[in-house]
Amino acid sequence: MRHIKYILLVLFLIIGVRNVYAFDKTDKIYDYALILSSKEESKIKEKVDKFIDNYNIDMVIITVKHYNQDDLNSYLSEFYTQNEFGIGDNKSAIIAVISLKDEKEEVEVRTFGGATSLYSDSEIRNILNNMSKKEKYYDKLNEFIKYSDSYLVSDDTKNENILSSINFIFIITASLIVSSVISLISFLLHKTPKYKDIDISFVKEGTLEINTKVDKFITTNTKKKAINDRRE
Amino acid sequence: MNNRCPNCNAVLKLNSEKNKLQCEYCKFECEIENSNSNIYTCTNCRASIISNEKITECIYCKNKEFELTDEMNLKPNYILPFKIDKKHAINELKKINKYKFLKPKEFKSKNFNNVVGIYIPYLLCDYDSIGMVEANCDIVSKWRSDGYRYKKTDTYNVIRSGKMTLNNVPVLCSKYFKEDLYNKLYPFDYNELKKYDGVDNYLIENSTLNKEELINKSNTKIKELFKDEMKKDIQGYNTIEFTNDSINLNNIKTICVLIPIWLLNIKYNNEIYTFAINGQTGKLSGTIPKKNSKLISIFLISFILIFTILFILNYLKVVL
Repeated sequence: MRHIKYILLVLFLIIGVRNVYAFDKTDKIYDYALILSSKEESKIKEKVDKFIDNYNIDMVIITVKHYNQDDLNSYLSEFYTQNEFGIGDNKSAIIAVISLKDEKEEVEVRTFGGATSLYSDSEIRNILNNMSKKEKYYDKLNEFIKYSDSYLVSDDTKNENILSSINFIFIITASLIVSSVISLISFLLHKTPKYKDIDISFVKEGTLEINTKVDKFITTNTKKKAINDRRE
Repeated sequence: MNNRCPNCNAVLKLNSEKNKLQCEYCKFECEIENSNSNIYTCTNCRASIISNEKITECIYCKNKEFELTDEMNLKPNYILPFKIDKKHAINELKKINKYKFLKPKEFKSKNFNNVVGIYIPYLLCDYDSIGMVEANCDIVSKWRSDGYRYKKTDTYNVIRSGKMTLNNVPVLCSKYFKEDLYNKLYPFDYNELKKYDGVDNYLIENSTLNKEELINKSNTKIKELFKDEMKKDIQGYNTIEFTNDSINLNNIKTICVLIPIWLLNIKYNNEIYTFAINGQTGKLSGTIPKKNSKLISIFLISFILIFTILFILNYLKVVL
C-alpha cells in the first residue's frame, strides 16, 4: 500500500509538472485559471492566429491562479524559455499573462526576442493601461491583442503612408510638368511665320528733287526736376 | 439682262439653291438668262463679283443671296495672269496649318479647298507731284547734374519742298479686300501685264468705288507718299509733326489692273479671317487663330494620360 502511494505521488508530480508545462506548440491560449469560456477562448484564438499570420510574431496568452516563481515576470520568462515560443531566427514573441494568485489580479505583458525592438516601453505600458481599464478578462485580452496589433500597424502604415504620399506627389508633379511642356510646345508651334512688310518705294529713280530745305529754330524749353522728387 | 420683276419692278435676287432669279415681294421666279458672265452683287455686304460660273456664296461675308447685274463699274485695262494654280495655293495654306493643334475646327485643312482665285481691281497711278510740306520738329536732350534731371526741347519749323515722279502707285478699287494686303503680298511683276480681254476661269471683283471716290482715294494716297518721301529728308529730330502742306499733282496717268489673288475668308467667332496668296509668287498672308479651350484640353488630356501611366507603373512597382 505504501509503495502504491509513493508510485501514485511520483506519477502525480510528473503529470502535475508536465501539466504546468504541458503544451501543444500550435496552442497559444493557456487558460489555466479557467477565466474564459470556450466561446471566448475560441474567439481570442482566432484573433491571436491572425496576429501571428500578419506579423510573424508569436503571441501567447496565459492565465494562472498560481505560480511558483518569485514574480510574474520570472514566471513569464521561464514559460517562454521552457516552451520554446517565438517565431523566426530571433524568436519574436509577445506574451500576456493574467494571474489571480492569492485572489489578487496581476497582469503582465512582455516581449521576447526580436519583438523587444518592435515595442517601446511606453507602448507596453499603454497596452497594460488599456487592459486595466476593462473589467472583464475577455475584454482585457481583447485590448491586449488590439493594441499589440495597432502599434505594429501604425509603424508599418506610417512608413507606407509616407512613401505613398511621396510617390503620389512625385506622380502629380511629373504629370503637371510634362503636360505643361506639351501645352507649351503646342502653343509655340501655333505661331504663324510673319513675312516682313516690304518698304515699297514708288518714286521713279532720279526724279526726286528737294529744292528747298528750311530748318528754322523757333523756341527752346528746359524743364528741371529734382532726382528725389517723385511729383510729375 | 433684265433683273427687275415684271410684276412689281423690285430687283430680282438670285436663289443659289434653285439657280433662279426670285422676287422677294411677289415671289415671281424666272430662269437666269444665259450669259458669258454674270455680275453677282451680295445682298448683305454689296461686294460685287464677276464670274462665268455660278456663285453660291459671297467670298467675303458668306451670304448666299445675290442680285444679278450686268454693269461693270470700272472696266479693267490690263490683267496680271495667275501663275500659281489652286493646288499650289492649297498646299501653301496647308503648310501654315501644319502642327497647329490649337486651331478651331473651322480651320481644318479640308476647308482650304474653298480657296478661290480672284482678280482684285487696282488703279495703278503715275503722277508727277510738286509741292511743299511744313512741320514742327523737336530735338529733345536730357541730362543730370547736381541732383537734378534736365529736359531741353528745341522746336524747329521745318519746310521741305520739291518734286518727284511716282509710278505704279496702287489704289485699291474694292471696299472689301483689305488695304494692307498689297504690301504683305508684294512683289507683283508688272512686266507680265496683259491686255484685258474678258473673264477667264477666275473670278473678278467688280470695283465698288465710284469715279469720284477713286480720284479722292488716289489723290490722298499720292499726297501721303509725297509727305513720306519728304519726311525721309527731315533728319535729326526726335519728333516730327506736319502742320501744313501744299501738293500739286500733274501728268496723271492711271490704268485699271486686275491683280491675281488666291483668297479664302473663314468666319470664326463672328470675325472674318482672311488668307490671301499672291497669284504670281505664292507669297501668303494670314493667321490661324488659337482656340484657348483646346489648349486647356491638351493640358488636361496629357495630364490625365501621364498620371494614369505613372500610377499604373508605380502600382506594378516598375518605377519608384
